[in-house]
Amino acid sequence: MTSINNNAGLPADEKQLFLQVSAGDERAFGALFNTFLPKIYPFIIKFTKSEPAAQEIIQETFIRVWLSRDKLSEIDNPGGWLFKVASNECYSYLRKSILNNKFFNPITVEPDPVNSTHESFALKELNRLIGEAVNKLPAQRKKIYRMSRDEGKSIPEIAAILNISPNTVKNALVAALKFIREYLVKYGIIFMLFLFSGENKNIFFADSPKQIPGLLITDSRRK
Amino acid sequence: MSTQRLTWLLEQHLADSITEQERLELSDLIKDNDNEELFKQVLSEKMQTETPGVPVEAAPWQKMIQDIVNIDKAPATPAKRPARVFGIYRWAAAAAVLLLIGSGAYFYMVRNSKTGLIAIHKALPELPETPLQKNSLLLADGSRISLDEVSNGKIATLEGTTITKLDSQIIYTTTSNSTETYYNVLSTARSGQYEVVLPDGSHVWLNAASAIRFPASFTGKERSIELLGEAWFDVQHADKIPFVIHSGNMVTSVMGTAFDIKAYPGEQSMTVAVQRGIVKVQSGNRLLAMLVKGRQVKVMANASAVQSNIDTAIIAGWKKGNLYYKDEQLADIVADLQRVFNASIQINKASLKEEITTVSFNKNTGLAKALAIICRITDAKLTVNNGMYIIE
Repeated sequence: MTSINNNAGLPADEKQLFLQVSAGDERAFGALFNTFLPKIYPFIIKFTKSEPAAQEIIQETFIRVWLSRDKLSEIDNPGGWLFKVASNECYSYLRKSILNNKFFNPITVEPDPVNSTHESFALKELNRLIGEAVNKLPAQRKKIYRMSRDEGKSIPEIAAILNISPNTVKNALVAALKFIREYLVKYGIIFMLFLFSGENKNIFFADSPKQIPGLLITDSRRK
Repeated sequence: MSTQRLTWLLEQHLADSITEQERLELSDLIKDNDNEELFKQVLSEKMQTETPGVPVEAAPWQKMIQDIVNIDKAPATPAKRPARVFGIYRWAAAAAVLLLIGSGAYFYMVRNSKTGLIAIHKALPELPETPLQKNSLLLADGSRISLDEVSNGKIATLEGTTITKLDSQIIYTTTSNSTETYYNVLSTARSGQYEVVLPDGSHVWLNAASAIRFPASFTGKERSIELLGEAWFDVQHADKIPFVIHSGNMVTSVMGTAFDIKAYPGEQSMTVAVQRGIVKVQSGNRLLAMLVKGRQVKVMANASAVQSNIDTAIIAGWKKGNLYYKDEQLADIVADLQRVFNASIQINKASLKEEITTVSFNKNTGLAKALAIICRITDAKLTVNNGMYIIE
């Protein structure tokens, strides 16, 4: 029997993987992660000289990929794009470390034992913020989003159940993700949407960034 | 600021050979916002030219994947999630057998198996992970009715739907349309069988160790259900509303017909055989076969589909205890016998498992005699050890 835990059944073609991820396919996302991890990890570990810092950069890179998934189908060179996202994270890390005088003392970047729940707290906080955003969606859009994410239903399935067209479902999911990103920006979690055509680079600069420890980097340097 | 200088400084840092003075230079460079794009560009280039390599420890990364995809879900209810997630893999692995096709079909399967398995919505009861001990009905609220232990008559009332039991049959009657769709799961034990009359009047006979998930009332443009295992369907015609059965990534859709689907997880093939009408069989979105009366299609693990004629008199013979196996691998026949007789049978020789065999008998023949017949055909030896049959 074929095991589901390996990626044997997945198409090697990266573009195809990105397409599947853009439709919300979690397994394709796992495969994408496993495809790119060996390509970005060696550099990032050399660059940060710290395993936890490398993990943080990689996690943030892929959180961005996941929360921008609706845009992935528009990208021509997904591999190049992912490297760009990862190197942006490296840049932010470098800048943050230097401004905090930590860059050249990697030891201090290591989370201290007392703070070991730090990382999961940050994830929880992001999860909570996204939950807040979803709750602010209009009723139908919220329902569609929950069916897609919490119940794992596909676009055609949701369309059939709600008796609406698959396109309506798709649009609702895209709008929901866009709203989530904008909501996160308000809380200082910044998305590099400038990588995609048609979105405004100014979105990069939030009005009142609120720092969430250990999480997506908030950059208020130009205020 | 020259690209070369910045690249060189970064290289020194990467190689751990940067001097104190160069560090300060790098610090100053990064503090200057004008260098942002240049830094990003150089970092991206260096990253792409680095030799790929896998991190020593794999576990944290697999957890990270899960953490990320869970980030935009409703916060998990801590006690329940892990067990359910485990469940997905078991069944999805079974479904994956069929899935060696194009990515479109792959995607379809993932979504489908997930519907069944990752769902935490209370209106979506789960298909059983392994065959249950007893024939049972699982309702949307999570309550389970053991069907052999309740007496005939009304056994449950859902919103606008009544469920009545009559011997080895349950009947769904919809009195008013409910706004929400509630799903129920009917499961049979090994050696069990059960019939359900769905709210649209369609009949489904479940063979042993099988399960179907269906809505207590049909709404929308499709009558959609999921099947694990084998069932015979007699579908009531409904104008422009097809009846669609999902089993793994195999999708069978009909208007109004009678046919049998055999799709047990983990077996070499799935079969659809048509007794009446026209049946469409797809793998994901790819059309595999349009079957008419007396035709069947066998969908192999590599997704190839082989059509052949079948005598309509023997389709779903299992309903009467008739067991027909035509050109099937011995391992699949034995798996079927284990389910029908609720017995443990082992084949101790690899070549035997793949032996293509044609054999038929009635359930009344009894397992011991049936196995003796099989051993004679395949030139194998049968022994019994601690209640387990061994073929070698």
